[in-house]
Amino acid sequence: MDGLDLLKKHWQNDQGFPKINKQEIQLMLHKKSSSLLRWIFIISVIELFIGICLNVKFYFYDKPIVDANPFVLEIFAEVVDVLLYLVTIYFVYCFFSAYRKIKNTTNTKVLLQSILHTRKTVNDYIKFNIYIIIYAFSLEAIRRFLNTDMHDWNLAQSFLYMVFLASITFLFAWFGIYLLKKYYRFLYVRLVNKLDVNYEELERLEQTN
Amino acid sequence: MNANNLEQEFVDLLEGNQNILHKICKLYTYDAASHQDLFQEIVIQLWKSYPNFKGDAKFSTWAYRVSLNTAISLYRGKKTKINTVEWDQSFLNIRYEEYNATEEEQLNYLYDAVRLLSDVDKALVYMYLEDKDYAEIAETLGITEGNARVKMNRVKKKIKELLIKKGVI
Repeated sequence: MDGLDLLKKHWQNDQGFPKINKQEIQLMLHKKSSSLLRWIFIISVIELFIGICLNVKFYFYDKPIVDANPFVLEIFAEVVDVLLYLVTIYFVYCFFSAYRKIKNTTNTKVLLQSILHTRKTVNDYIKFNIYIIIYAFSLEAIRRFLNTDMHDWNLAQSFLYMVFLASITFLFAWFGIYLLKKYYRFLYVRLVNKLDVNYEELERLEQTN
Repeated sequence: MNANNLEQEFVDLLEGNQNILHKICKLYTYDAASHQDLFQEIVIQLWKSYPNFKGDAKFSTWAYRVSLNTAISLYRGKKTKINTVEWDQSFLNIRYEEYNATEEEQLNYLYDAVRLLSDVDKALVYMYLEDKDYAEIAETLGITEGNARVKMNRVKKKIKELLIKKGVI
């Protein structure tokens, strides 16, 4: 008899479990879930909220910059602002509609897929915000460059100043992305790693056979 | 049906079918505290989706699917994994004492071996022990029937090798 058959023989008659009575079950129904999905939802909503706050901040912060620029740039900045809000609304809609589609009664693969898809929506939103932050930094660098009085400067001085501003922008952007990557690695191991591993195992099975 | 009646109906059904949950907890957890933890999470998940339970499927069939999904996809699980070093050591000790395991001891080793498997493999073991056919196993996990069969054979082989290596069978 192989191992599992021995276990199967015992399994059917295994009654050695604590008996949970009706009252205890009733109490459990009203307890808060501590599932991964709930944590993913809470963290995602916080991240979306922070993203929206950042967008609002950039909108107000952008105003004096826009005023100082030529009219074409002003229009460009306004278009970007409108797009920013449309994209944010789109991401929030995608997140909630993906979240609503998660059903614990579907098959395991679809369930894992739908949770990972919901989480990916937020990750894409974060990526989008990183691009916006880089855009804002670049805009600020250009503004500083254009608003600096360079009458007495020679070409080399202007060039050096431009390189300096570009380097600062690059460093800030690099450091911001580095911090975010660290944060995500930390968060991912805790939140989504288990789902990723299980989903990949099911995916691999379909690919290798 | 009002909310109280629905709750009472659910509690009655669950009380009678609670061993489904206990058996899954036994495979997916390592101690009494996490067993209780997972049990509670499964109850919450079942209750959450109970209003959509049509009654065209058996309550037990519906319950084991949601329970497995909870164990594989939703349960956060504690970091405390079975200590494989301790496990190896316990086998070594037994061999030195001229191993003569009783059936109960063998079962304990089997459970420990199953607990070392991946979440997906455990689900296959659970459904195999529950005598589910490959069509149902495949449907529950979202894979093809052929792949469910292949995977099940691999899991059986894995467990057997593990036990032979340890000298249990």
